[in-house]
Amino acid sequence: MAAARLLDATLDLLWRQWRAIGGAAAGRGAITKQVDPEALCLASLYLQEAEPRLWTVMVDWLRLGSALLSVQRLKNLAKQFPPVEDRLRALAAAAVEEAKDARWRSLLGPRPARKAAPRKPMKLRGGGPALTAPPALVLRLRAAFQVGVKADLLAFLLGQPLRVSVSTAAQSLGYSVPPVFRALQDLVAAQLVQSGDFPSGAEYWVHIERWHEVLGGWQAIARWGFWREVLVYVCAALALEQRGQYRKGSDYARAAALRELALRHEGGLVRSGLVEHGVPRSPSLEEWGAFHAELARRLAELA
Amino acid sequence: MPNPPRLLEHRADIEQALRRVGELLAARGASYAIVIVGGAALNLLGIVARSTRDVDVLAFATRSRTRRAWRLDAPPDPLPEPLAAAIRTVGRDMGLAETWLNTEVVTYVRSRRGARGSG
Repeated sequence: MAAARLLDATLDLLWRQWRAIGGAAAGRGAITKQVDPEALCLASLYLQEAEPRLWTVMVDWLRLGSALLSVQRLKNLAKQFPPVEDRLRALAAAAVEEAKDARWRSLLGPRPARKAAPRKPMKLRGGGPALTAPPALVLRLRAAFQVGVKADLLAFLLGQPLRVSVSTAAQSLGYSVPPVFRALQDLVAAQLVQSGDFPSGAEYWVHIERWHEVLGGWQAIARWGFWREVLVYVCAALALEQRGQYRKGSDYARAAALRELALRHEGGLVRSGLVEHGVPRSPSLEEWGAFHAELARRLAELA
Repeated sequence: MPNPPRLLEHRADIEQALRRVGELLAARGASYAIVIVGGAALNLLGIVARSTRDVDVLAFATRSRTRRAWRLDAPPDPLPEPLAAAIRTVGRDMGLAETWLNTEVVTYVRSRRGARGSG
């Protein structure tokens, strides 16, 4: 029951995210926080079995937006999601075929990609990436400065109310620390990012008011959403619920498996604001059902 | 300051702890048959009814090919990781000592045998 609610809330979240960045998704409402486009694609790929229309919206968006996605980051983040390799190859095939974006060939691999679901002759349904929408800030900066860690870092720092450390930035963006550190040094040298040494170590921030004029006012800058952390956890929890071994287990074994999973993702869930003080430690399945029901409610709120 | 570990209070307590270990192992597709001795074993047999600090594992049992007999071996040291992890998890959940299920009795038996041999 709680898993079904979590799935519904996650699908709703994905629709809201696609809408927020210009995807032709029916319905109402869009999120207000910054979208993480690669995490959105990977979660949509994983959940397309539950909601096949996600594929259509994603491929439609990709026709004009593929150049704004990081193929390398997709590869890296895919390892954090439940297995989606075949679907990712199909998406890459669609990007190569329909968007003529050769960068995606590296995702095709030696095996032929699963043939994309048959679709009606291409007719543009969405208007492509909504670059000036506040939740699409990372795409806007990639369009301006090219796809890469620096554009992502700027979007991330612009979306932060506080200073952040290298490791927080790296964890949230899903990059390893060395490239993030090097990129931050370059951005500091260019005086686009400020840094300072604090007792807790070096921290980084941007003078956000200086960016208001460039980007079109404070309302053009959305808070960072920490969606990677959220979507990776939710997809992993939903995948666990599907696993035969898990379903056959006792209540105690299932609760212990849910707890083990949640503990691995606790840092990210706290960063995202989805949970305040940490995940439950309880071995009671009822309590985990309540936790996921609450998570579903908060997902709707966060979105 | 964490609470000191509690004792296994009675037969049902011991059964629950062992059952939980089995459930965690089953969820990972693993299973082990163990031979236990000491206070916990006597509790489970209904011979005594008293609290005990731990469950003493004397041997691991494996079925013969014909499945008619059991072969007993000294428990591996360290214990297989799935079992060790399940022991830790159940211990934490039930407030027991981290090594509430252990093979210390094997060391004791060996030392006694050694002492007898040298004496």
